[in-house]
Amino acid sequence: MDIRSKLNFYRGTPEKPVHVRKAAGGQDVDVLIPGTVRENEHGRCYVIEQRYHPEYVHGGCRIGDASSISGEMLSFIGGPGCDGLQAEKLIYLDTETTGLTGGTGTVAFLVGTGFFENGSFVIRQYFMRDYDEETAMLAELKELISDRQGFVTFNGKSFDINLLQTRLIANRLRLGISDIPNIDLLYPARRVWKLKLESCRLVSLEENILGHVRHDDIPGSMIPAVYFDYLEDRDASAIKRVLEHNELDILSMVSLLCRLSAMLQDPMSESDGGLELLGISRIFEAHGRTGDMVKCLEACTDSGRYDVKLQAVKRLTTVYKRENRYDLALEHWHAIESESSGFDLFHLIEMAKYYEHKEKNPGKALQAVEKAFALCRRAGITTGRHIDGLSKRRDRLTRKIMQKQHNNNPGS
Amino acid sequence: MNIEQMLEHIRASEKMMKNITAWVELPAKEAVYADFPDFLDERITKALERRGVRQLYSHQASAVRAVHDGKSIVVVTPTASGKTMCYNVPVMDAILKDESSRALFLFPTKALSQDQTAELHELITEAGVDVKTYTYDGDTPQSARKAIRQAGHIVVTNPDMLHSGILPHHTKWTKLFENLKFVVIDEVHHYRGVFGSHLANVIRRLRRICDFYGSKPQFICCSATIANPVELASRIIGEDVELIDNNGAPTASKHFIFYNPPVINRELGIRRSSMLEAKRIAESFIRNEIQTILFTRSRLNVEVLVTYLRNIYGGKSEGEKRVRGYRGGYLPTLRREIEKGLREGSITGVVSTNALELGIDIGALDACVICGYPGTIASTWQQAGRAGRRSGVSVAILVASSSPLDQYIINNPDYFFGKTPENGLINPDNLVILYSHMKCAAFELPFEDGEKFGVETTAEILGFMEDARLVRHVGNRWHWMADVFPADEISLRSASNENFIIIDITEPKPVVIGETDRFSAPMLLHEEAIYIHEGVQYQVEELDFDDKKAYVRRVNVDYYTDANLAVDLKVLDVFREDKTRQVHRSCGEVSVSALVTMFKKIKLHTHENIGSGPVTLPELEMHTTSYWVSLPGDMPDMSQTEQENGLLGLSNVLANAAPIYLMCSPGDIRVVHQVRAPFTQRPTVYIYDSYPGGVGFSDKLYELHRELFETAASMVEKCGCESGCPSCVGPLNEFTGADDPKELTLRLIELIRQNA
Repeated sequence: MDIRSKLNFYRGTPEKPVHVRKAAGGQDVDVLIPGTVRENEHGRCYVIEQRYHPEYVHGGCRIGDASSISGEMLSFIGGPGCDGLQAEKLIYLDTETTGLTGGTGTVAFLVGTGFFENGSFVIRQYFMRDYDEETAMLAELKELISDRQGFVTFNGKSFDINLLQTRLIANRLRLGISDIPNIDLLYPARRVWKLKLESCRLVSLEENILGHVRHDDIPGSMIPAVYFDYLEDRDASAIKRVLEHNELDILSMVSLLCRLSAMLQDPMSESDGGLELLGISRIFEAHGRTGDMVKCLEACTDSGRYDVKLQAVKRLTTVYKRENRYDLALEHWHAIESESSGFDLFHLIEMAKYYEHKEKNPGKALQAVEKAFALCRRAGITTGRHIDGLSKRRDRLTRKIMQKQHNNNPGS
Repeated sequence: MNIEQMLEHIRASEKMMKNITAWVELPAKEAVYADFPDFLDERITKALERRGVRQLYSHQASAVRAVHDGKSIVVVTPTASGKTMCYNVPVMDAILKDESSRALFLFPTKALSQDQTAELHELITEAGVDVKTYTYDGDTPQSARKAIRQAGHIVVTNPDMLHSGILPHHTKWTKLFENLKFVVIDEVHHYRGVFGSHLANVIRRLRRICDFYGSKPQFICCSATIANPVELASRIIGEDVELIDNNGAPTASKHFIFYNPPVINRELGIRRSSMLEAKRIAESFIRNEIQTILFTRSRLNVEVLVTYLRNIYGGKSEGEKRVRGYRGGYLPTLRREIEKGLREGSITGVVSTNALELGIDIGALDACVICGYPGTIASTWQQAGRAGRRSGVSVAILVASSSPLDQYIINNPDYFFGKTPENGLINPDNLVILYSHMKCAAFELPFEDGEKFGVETTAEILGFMEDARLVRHVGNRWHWMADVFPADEISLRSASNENFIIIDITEPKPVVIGETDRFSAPMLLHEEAIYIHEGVQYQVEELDFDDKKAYVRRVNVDYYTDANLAVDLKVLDVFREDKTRQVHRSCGEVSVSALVTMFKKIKLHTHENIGSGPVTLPELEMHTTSYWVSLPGDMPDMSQTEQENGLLGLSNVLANAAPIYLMCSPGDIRVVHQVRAPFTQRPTVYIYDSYPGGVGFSDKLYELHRELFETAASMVEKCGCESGCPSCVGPLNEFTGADDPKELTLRLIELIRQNA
């Protein structure tokens, strides 16, 4: 038995590759997509370039606006390690890969980059037409990176940059790409839109925030198979769709950065005044900018949406309590009380605590507790942690009231 | 009574002595010292001196020197001979001489790696040096991993983690791989069979990665005493090793006693329970305040014996304090507490599975009782090594069960006390295993044209992978091109990913309780089969053959099931053969087809057949390696039935004799006989590896042909039964007619011995 038949026997169930169906007689990438073959000491790769006028609008933003975002704002959005960056010296980066599993065997076959050059925005995509072009492709990328300051990515910290670092090492190209500043938009985007959107994936943000709907976009899960098929049949029609997908990703990152910058610059007028504003307040909170956070939250308390208001009041009054400004806190609790229609106990309990411990007025505190009990009764709640907590509080307050009466009328 | 008095007491008891088949007094041995080699960093020698070590034992010094000379070594010395110093000292020395040096330590279990790192930490702290040692395994928190990858001088891990957590991410470990000077593989004798064959391939992958980063590590292996440590170690690491076995550690005098429980049913060869006998012996030691460890084979028995032994103490809480169990499944903190109690002497008796056999530090105890032969001579010595203080006397007692292997060992003490027959065997070129690791290797780094992954057929296999669209050949290289992470598909501890999982559905929440290989599934897991797991009976309710799942439910019945297996064996290829004499021997590749047609329900104890049922499952075919021996076709003095009975007896004996040489469990091999084999046209007995592709047994059996049949002969001859029993030629009800199977088997063995 030869080794092949043995392997066939042992392997049992054959591994089934996914095939993407397409018409026969396709054309290769250099025919289908205009570009240039770049050559360096490591070989060749294919490069596709598009230039965008700064007035070009995508996702509701002028592309050119991204070049004038201040260093301060970039640092604010990017977080630690992103100080001192200039917007026109950043590279927007997004890769398309042969897999999502991670590890050394996953390759980025397409590295899409975007950057400002002489005022216009350039999207340059490095494509390896086969595995033997990877080193040359990465060397080109390394060249581009050398006179830039940092990256803008979406989930690049845990995916793209890691993967490229692995591939650089595997190709013996010494470059510590992980140490280059990286504004990863996923994290600020999540803070701002987590409450508003079910998904904070780039495509979802694009549709819901930037107002751009993709047509005939290739699903990310199909991309590895598209590339494997291309390697065999050299039909680049599906690769073209991958290139477009990648290009859109980069444009959307630019818009997203503009959008975030505008919102953080002027939260009151640039946000929806509701859930977005709540999200923005979280970014201010994370950076210790309490004043800005309070401003956002105060604005949220005017929101027409009760849930926004409730959340804002909860977080706002926590700050006020910490700063010992109970007058402001009390105002908000009362406001909630007058508006509340559902089962919310927090403001009543907060008020009970305040009257008991700060104002030393157990009678008023007990009133709040009784209101809470009434709410529970209305909601049909008779046992459980709410009731247990309230009962304890009521017992203590009742004791205090009796004690007080006793102290006032020691004779009786 | 102290221990000497206890031994006198046993010697004086006729009742005990008549069951004792061997009493060997191993004399005390003086230490052989050697000076610290002068190249050793002073910080190490000073630290050792502060810990009371003024000189090294001879084997430690040899190891340190050999490593210093750049050699790869295998250290073979008994338990408690200070083996860890053989790698800790040279590795630390090298790191102190060149701070960039890195080392990788591999231990077969997580518990052991924790213990060994603790010891290394002590030495490092004592020396006051900055040698960063970290354990990197499944329990290592994500937050700590980055620092370990960057800064760890010594990374302690296990083969599984190396395989799936380190090698496929080698670019994150550049510091380690660029500077890797040493790979330490402790307990090398554990890596045999499937596990060892996998490890050899993991090491092949490691070497490729080291090549890529420009490092060339030395290997330091340690092994328990086996017949072929150099062969095993060099096959695992893929290069020559120097043997270090000039053991210089002192030992105190030790009494080793073989105890065979008395026969209670002569006809069936049934003896008194080894568990109760072991318990009785351990009890007598513990009553006399002699610190004792009792080894038993299953986790369940640990719990049962602990309960029995606690009764020694009047007070319940006293018993719970003084007698403890120890086994896998206990939480680490509990284990540490028990280990400490043993070292400090607050625990008098401990019942353990082989979890305590490995190098975990519990100090030395006075007495060791081993309930049931642990399966290998090496394990038995490791368990017995738990008893034995530096001064004074200690005792180890092996209590045999009725199983054939136990009976053989207990009645043939020379095998045990003489030169060990046990071989650690692997087959790194097993195609199933090799192929899975070539996938991992291609994922890790592209294969270059002309590159060899251990075998000459590397390019052909890559070609096969290319057809399967797993790799792509372009520009003199083979690149991985699949959206999968191949290491996830492989478990190092089983031969294929075709295993069936066994799911207990007794409770509302189903629990996976075990797995079995595809080939054994029809026999063990057909519907209505009684599956026994850790001493608990389960009945198979449903076997989902396509999804490889068996659903079982706990039951309590007084029978077991025995599936009727029809095996058809075809020879595919002959690797080696010797036909110069009347009896021919060969080894090669075979195809085994197995079909289960029905099963029997057999009553426990009486072995009555109390029912049966049909089994409808597909026939399974396996390709594996086999050794076979064929007899002359014309044996005029034996009738057809007699030949048949003789061959059956021979098969049963060989199934028990072969594991002694192969260091495997009886289930790792299978024996079939054919009265007129299609391939040889002669009466033939085949012994084949029960893993697809084979794990190296058949080649060794071919070489050990002579010894194997000598052992078979003495197994049958020395058995106390009259005309055959389950301990030698097999249960009598398996034979046809009124022949004497014992005699027939012996005649065939004699024929083979005289003509081979």
